[in-house]
Amino acid sequence: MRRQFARWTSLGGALFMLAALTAGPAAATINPPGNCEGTGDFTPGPFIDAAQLQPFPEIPLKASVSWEGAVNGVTPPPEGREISGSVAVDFPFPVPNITAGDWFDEDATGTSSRGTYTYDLPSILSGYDIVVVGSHSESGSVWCSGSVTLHFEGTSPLLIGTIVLTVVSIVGVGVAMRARQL
Amino acid sequence: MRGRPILGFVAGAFLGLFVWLDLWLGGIVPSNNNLLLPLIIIGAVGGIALAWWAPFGRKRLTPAQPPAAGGGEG
Repeated sequence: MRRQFARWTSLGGALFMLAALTAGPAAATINPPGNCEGTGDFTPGPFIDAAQLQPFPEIPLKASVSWEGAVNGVTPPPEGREISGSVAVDFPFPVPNITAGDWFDEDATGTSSRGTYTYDLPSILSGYDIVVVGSHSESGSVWCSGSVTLHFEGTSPLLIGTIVLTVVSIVGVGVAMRARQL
Repeated sequence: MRGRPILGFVAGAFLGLFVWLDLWLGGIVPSNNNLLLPLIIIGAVGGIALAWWAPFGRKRLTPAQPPAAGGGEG
């Protein structure tokens, strides 16, 4: 019995170590660096620069954010050029990514934009890392791509539900191990 | 095989899925962590294997020996 307990705890420990080793820090990347830039100033909350690789602070569920975005190294012709792009929440295979927004313009002349966005998100989004990936294309070819890890403050209210379902699954495996009545 | 392999497969796969959800919603791994599919496969295969080898720690019952015919005494 003691040997079985040690075996199971070793397996669980190995799984959590694997998860911890493969977990990336909450951060942002832009490829190639310098082609695009973006900042967000949350009120209340932190100031975030997408070019910074350090871990991001937690973001409030309800805030107003002043954002700025720009593409560098592009000289638009007077008649404009085609631009497009999208941002999506990144999930592992086989779960498809969820597109959060996209843009397209056949004759864009600008290379930067700014604005203020006020949001009030449900608490269901709090407490876990959401990786958002995006890309921007100039005249049909990808000009820059990147990812940002968002972490909203608080604890996930869904966590207790998934823990209960985990226990139910363990019970299911236990039932599967019981001998059939022959 | 003494257990229920189909139930072990289904319950093990769901166990892998919910363990991944626990890790994600607990803030341990990000949403794009690639452990999802390996955990589901490990859970499903593990569930079948456990059902295959079950039950553990129980000796197989051996058929009772019939009483010896005839009396050897006296």
